[in-house]
Amino acid sequence: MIFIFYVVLMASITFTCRYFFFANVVHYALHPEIKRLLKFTAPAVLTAMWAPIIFVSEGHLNSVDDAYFISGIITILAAILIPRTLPVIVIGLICFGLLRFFTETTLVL
Amino acid sequence: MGQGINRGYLPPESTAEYQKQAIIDILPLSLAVIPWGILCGSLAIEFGLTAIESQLMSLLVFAGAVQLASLGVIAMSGLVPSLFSTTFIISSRHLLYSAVFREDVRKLPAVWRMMIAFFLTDEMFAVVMAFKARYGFFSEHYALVAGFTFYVIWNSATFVGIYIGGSIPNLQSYGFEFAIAATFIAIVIPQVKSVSVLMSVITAVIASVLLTLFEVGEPLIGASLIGMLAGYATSKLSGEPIV
Repeated sequence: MIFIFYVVLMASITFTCRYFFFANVVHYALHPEIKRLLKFTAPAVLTAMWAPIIFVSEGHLNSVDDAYFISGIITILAAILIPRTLPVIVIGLICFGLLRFFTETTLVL
Repeated sequence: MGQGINRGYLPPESTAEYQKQAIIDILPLSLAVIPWGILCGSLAIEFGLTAIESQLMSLLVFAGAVQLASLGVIAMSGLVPSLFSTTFIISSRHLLYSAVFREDVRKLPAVWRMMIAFFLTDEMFAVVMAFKARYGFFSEHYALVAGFTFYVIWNSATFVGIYIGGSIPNLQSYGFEFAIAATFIAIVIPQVKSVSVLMSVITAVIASVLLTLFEVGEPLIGASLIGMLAGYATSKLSGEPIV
């Protein structure tokens, strides 16, 4: 039962982080230099999420014949050529699926 | 228009179209996190939480990394203070998202601000930034529906996990993370339109890989900040205007 209390406290922490700068209590406008820095939030944070998935597994660098590495590089190339999100994701997933299928079949054989 | 923002795509014409677009855009990410939703529900049951407590985690906390880490903290130490400090450290990146949307969201009524904040996840942030990059403006209808769609799917997945209980196979071996990586790549790469963003991305790649390899602190937070600073420095030194 006490855990419900913990959950509510955790929820207030996550909500506070998400709401913090939406609050109208603080009326100041963000400093232009802060705005310059914040422009890089999306590319930097999202990249810090995808890069380790593509390049690292279990504490070591992926080899060049790794399914994550190859499909990741192909997805990056596809994203450079095609400005639409969905086709790029589909290309990446097909590539990953095929590589996984064939590497696992080889393992079984 | 004509600022290099609009690539010739016309923005949706009605609220209903924004909503439809939001559902389509967030769908790949929502589907990719289903395994983690199931894992959150199933692990919570395995660690001795009741079904209601487990579902409330997803209904109220609504943050996959926080939910999984909190179960770990409870299992390992049971220390309550570390439960809350872990929650704050993992959630701190949402402060950045909140700051990025500040100018767009601040003028909205309080109920809207709270709803958008409640549904503000990595995934919602990613698709809304892609929307902004494509059309050059923020839409609260788009943001809310994207966030809410993700919420419904996340909670349904948790429910399935609770229902199945502790009997799930090893989900990590299926490679669902790749779907998330592919989606983020597809969202980030088209936003690379200047040297400063390119520098920010390359630096974030190197920093995140090194910090993950050598298990230094919180790799996600560290690499994000290093990537942002690299972009900032390049932008400042080359005298780019602040848009």
